[in-house]
Amino acid sequence: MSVILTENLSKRYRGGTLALKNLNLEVRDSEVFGFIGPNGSGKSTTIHLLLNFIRPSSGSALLFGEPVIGAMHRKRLGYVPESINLHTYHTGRSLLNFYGQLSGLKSLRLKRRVEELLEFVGLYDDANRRISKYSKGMLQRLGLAQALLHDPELLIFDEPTSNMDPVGRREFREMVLNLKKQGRTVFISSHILSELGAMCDRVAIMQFGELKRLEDLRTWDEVDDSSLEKLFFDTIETERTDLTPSRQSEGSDQ
Amino acid sequence: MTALLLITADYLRTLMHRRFLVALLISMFIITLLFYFIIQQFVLDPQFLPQLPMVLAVFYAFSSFVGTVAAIYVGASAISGEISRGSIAMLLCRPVMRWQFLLGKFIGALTVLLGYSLVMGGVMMFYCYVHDLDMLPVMRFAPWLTFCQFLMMCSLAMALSTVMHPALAGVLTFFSDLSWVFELFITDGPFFYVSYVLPSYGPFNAWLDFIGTSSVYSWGNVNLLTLYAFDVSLILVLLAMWRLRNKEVT
Repeated sequence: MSVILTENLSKRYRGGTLALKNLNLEVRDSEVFGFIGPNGSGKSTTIHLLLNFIRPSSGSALLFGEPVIGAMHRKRLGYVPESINLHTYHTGRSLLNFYGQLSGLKSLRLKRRVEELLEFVGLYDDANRRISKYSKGMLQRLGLAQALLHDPELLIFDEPTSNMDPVGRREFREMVLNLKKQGRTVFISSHILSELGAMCDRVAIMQFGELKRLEDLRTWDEVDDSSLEKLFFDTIETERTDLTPSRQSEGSDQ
Repeated sequence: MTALLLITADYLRTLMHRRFLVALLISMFIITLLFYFIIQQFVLDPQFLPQLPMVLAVFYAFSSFVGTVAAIYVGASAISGEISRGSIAMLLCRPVMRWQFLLGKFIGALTVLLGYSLVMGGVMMFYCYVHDLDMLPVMRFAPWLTFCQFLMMCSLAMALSTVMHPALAGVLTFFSDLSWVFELFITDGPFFYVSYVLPSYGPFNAWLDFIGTSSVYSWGNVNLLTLYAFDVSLILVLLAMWRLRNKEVT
């Protein structure tokens, strides 16, 4: 079953920038999907389109088989944005309570989940501190907790470990592997290739708003840090050499 | 419904955190205290007693002005603040519809403005009670009419903030009273009827009734003005919802 399905999804921003061009992507149930690419390759735009924060210029996107414009399927997804912007007057605990209630969790289950997750992300001792006092790494951990709160079937991570220390990164990797064992679908956009190689079933490489390569890592004999990095740079460098002139001509069309 | 109430409660909490509610209450307290002493002076000297309704009218005008600024601020910042901070993403990635988000904020803003109008009415009654004065008839409906004006200004500021910078939306809302155009074309002419569709808060300002130079208000008029204010606000909120539905929020 397709958890995420996009068909010819394109996004042109006001001003003419073509951020995404005819993206056809399918993320299947229970897989960990890596979404990689250099800055400005359309990764965050894709995620924002999937979450209905922005509207596509053409094409369509479905989550769990439903158009992304609806709200009910969002009960089944958790999202960790690239930069975590939260209401800073909340404490860690009150914020999770608020988001949990919005996600439809009932009081007893909510209370249990909040305590579990605070423990899980290592914020239990700081749970009653205001978020404004949290470090970036702590905010990122809280961001993870809020995404896991309602036990979603699909998790969308946009650069989830960019502010985490090495310990946090390792814990994140273990968490994703654990989610994978539980049969969750995980969609991760990241620059950190070494993380993705160990976690992902498939990876998509994006550049200039286009899908350049889709690779099934499960068919590889051995996946290590260097192999995914090689794949990435082979794709990107080749494309960069080949596509720079065509991108310029595209720009002149706008 | 739950999402709506949660967003309302959270918005009230945001206003509390920004010290907005405290600032509003302190402003009201200072105005109350100031006019308390002024009224006391008037009561002590019988020759000034007939001027007392004028003092109440000035109090009403002062506190209405503070409320107007508050209405514009909450209206213009409720939605745009969440978008500019980026915190809207954390709400809209949950099963929350955009109209629920907007309506939740709007109800939160109206709760504050209704509370303020009630305090305003309460203070006027307090003056009458403390100084053993007769209640003026206008005091029965003046706070309600003021609330109706706040309601319209808040919804206008909210609607405008979905299409432009919130500061500009606030300024435009502040100067949106075009009743002077109405006065300009008071005589029958081709432009006279245009004035019917121009926004005007003049009829909601009951201060002339305090000094008895105007007595246009009856319960019938108040009901009609209430309907007008709710109608205008409904249209503006629906426009804001429509705009937010299609707005890119990142």
